[in-house]
Amino acid sequence: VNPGAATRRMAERLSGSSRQQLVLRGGIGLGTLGVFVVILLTGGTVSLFWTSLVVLAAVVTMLIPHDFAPLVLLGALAWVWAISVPDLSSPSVILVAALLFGIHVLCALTSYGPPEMVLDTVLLRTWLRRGGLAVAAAAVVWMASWLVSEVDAPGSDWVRVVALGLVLVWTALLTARLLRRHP
Amino acid sequence: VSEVVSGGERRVSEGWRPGPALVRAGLISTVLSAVAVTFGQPALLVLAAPFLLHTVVGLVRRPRRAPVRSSWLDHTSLREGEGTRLTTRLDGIAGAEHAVVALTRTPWTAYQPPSATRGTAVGPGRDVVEVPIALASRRWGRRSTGAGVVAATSEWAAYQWGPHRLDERMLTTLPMPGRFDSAAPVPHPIGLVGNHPARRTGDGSEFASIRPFTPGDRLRRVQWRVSLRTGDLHVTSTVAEEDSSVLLLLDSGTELGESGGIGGKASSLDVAVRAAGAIAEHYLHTGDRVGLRVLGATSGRAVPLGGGNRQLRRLLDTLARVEPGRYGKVDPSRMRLHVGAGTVVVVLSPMLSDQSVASTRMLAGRGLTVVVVDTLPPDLSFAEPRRQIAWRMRLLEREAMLRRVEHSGVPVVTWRGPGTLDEVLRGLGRRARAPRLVAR
Repeated sequence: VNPGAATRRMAERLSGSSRQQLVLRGGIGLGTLGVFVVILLTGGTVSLFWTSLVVLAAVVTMLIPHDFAPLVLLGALAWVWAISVPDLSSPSVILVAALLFGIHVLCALTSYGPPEMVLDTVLLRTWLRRGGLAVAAAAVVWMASWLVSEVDAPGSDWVRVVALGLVLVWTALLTARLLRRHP
Repeated sequence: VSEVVSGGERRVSEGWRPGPALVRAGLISTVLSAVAVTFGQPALLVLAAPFLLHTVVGLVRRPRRAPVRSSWLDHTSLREGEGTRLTTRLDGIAGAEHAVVALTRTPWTAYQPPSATRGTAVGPGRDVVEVPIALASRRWGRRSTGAGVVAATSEWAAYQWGPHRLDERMLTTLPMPGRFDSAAPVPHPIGLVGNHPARRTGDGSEFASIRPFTPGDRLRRVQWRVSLRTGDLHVTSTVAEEDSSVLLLLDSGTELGESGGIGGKASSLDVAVRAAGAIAEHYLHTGDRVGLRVLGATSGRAVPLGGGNRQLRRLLDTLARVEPGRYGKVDPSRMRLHVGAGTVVVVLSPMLSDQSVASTRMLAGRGLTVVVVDTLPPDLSFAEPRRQIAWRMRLLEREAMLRRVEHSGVPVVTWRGPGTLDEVLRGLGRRARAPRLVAR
């Protein structure tokens, strides 16, 4: 692969991007910035190393949102948030979940077709509703975890083993589904 | 989609496959859940929840069967500047929420949308979707509408189908004939009925003479005033009107200048093709027979003399298939045009090759009436000084060639639309009445 030619080809493709596509890609950067703002507002501090890494991942994601870069960006943002915030169980976690899912959705929207394409407003509205549903799910999980913490039940290894078993079953099921050949 | 369009060919399965959004959501939800459970951090489950929801719904709403694609053009033949629509249809699209078609943009074709890419949302419960892309051809010729690909995405962007190639569709664009009109008669009308005044007298509308009555003359031709004065019956005779044959000889050996399509700059071949179309249309509408020969081509690019609307269509269709520099050199002495005496041969050429000059002189030597229409664009120039000097030298050589052509009795006129041929045709008509020496 010739890096120069690949860069030129990518630049050519991006130069013809529609305005909507540019807005969607810009939204990825804004979402990343939003996570940092939440971290700082909740009393967290971010190291320069992690900031640089996340910014690099964000830039690459804005350029190639349909590849593996978004996975790296989302993983890095979740990691940075987890190691920077003093209280993980604060309600701000719902906001972070919304921002991460928002970045994920923006990447999905930019991958529907070539950069020149303009998406229907019907589709954008559908994704807005889905985003609301996903954030609601996050809020429900947070409320459940808050209720459990309020009950202050003693920790149980059996519960942890069952939960890990569920995660393993889910992983196996997901792997089988993703690797299956579909008609 | 764009990777396939830009030439990076890759193998794509025919069915639905998990898209990057589903893979991403699945991986993130799994990893976050595992870490949350292992380290007892329920906050990470909150982060995982939206991705888990996306993964589960995406898997559940997986499309059950692959769509079947087809595409067609509303019209396969257009005039320059006219538009049509390329429609791509996907059958069995149930379960998908978005379909996209992307075409590779080709020169001289305008697309709507201009990116030649159109996506459309597939409504819930719909099993068929059609994605139209409007396109207009801006230059004559036979071209592909562009390689295209089609892709679809399932609900929640979970599964992707394609991108798959669309069959290329060929679009024939007939030249839009330039404006042309001629008031001059063709020098040698040789047919039966037509609009050109012949040398003989007969039924017609143009006055020839008043002569004594002979048996067979019609009574309505009797010239009563002269008959009363002279005491003998006299009749008005008219010049017969006959049709003529025009052969268009198109030089497609070279193309000079840049073509900007209809409404833009015209190359030498643009001028030649549009002029040929205009001349053909004019003479066919006046009832003459017109034929076409592309210089150098032997078959497929020759239309024998004929008349009527169908002949015009054949001529325009042949003109649309002309390709610059396609045909090799041909020995002028071996050229067989299959035209009779009296046919007017109109050579449309920038007169830059020895071959076209030799062919023209050979035709004139055979006794045919030949007119050269110079199709060289007047504003042709080059930015690079060396090329500009070389071009000026070429023009000097061309002037010498044109002089040789004119010395052999062939008039050369620059194409300027209506009236281009009037003066030379009148001159040739006068010359036709004088005796001359020809080589056979």
